[in-house]
Amino acid sequence: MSKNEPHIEEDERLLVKRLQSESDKQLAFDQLVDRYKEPLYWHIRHMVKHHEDADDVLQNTFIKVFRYIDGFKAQSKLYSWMYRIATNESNTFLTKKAKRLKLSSQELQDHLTENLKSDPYFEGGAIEYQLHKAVDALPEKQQLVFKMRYFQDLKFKQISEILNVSVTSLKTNYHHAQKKIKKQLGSY
Amino acid sequence: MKSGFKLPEDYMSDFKNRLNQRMEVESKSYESDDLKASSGYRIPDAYFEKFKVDVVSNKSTENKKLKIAIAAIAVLAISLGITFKPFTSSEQINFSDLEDEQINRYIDQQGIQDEVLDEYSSHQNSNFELNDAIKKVDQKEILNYFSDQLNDLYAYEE
Repeated sequence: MSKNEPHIEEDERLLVKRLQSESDKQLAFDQLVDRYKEPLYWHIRHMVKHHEDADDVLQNTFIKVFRYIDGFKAQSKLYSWMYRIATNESNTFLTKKAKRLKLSSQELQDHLTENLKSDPYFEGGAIEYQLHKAVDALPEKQQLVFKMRYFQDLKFKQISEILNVSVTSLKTNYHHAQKKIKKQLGSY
Repeated sequence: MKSGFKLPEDYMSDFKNRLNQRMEVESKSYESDDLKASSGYRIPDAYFEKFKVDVVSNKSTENKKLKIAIAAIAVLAISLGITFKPFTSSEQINFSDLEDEQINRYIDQQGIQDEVLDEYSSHQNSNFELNDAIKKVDQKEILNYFSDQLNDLYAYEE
């Protein structure tokens, strides 16, 4: 199990039960934050790119989780439900930012990647920078799959549960993404 | 990470405290009383409970205008010495039924202000055809009548 892979099954079921109880809610929520803050942070960070933005979106995500946990029916796993909230919050954030800066979504991606050069919380060199540029050029779905698999080390099964897409489809997307990125990074 | 991204020192260990602080602030702002206080706006007691009633009385204001217009026509006709009989739809009364001579005589004596009769002329479905010359009745007389009728209408509907 990788360090980013969320704990699941029985433990998670108990946690949900506590989160939905009045008496134990706050304590259980603290535990939930401890467990998921890091994987969710990285998921968000790879979508919004900059730390301050990721911090905002991560807080929004947990606030939404806290607010809507009573309605969580356990039809999906807790972590996949939280990842979906994080994905939606990130997308909402990016849409608003693009609107505010009067940019298309592709222009915004280029702009965010360009800004990495002066970001104090980006320590990558030329190769990492080119990698981000290559990922930006992928279709949206391939981007998401690539980031979740390559950067966050999530298993295809987990990604499948989060995105509600078949494992086969994910593998195909990832394969195409890898191929395009390799081609683009060929000179490095 | 393979991405080149890094985190500020102690970010993860401080995160929960910052999140709890923000949630505390947000939960306060979600309490409706605090929302009212922060906006500075106040509303009269039970405003929303009565709101529907106000909508209904606004509708009846439209009806009032029509009633007033009809009432004004009635007082005009009475002033002219005309008596109405109860009529059926086939016997609707028109201004054209009035004797031109009677009207002209009244106009000569009293005079009519244009704006007083705007209410009648704007009423598209009216059977009343207004003659330009009619627009010269004593405004004060009609306004007094309006005022009495309005008081009555409000008294009935409250």
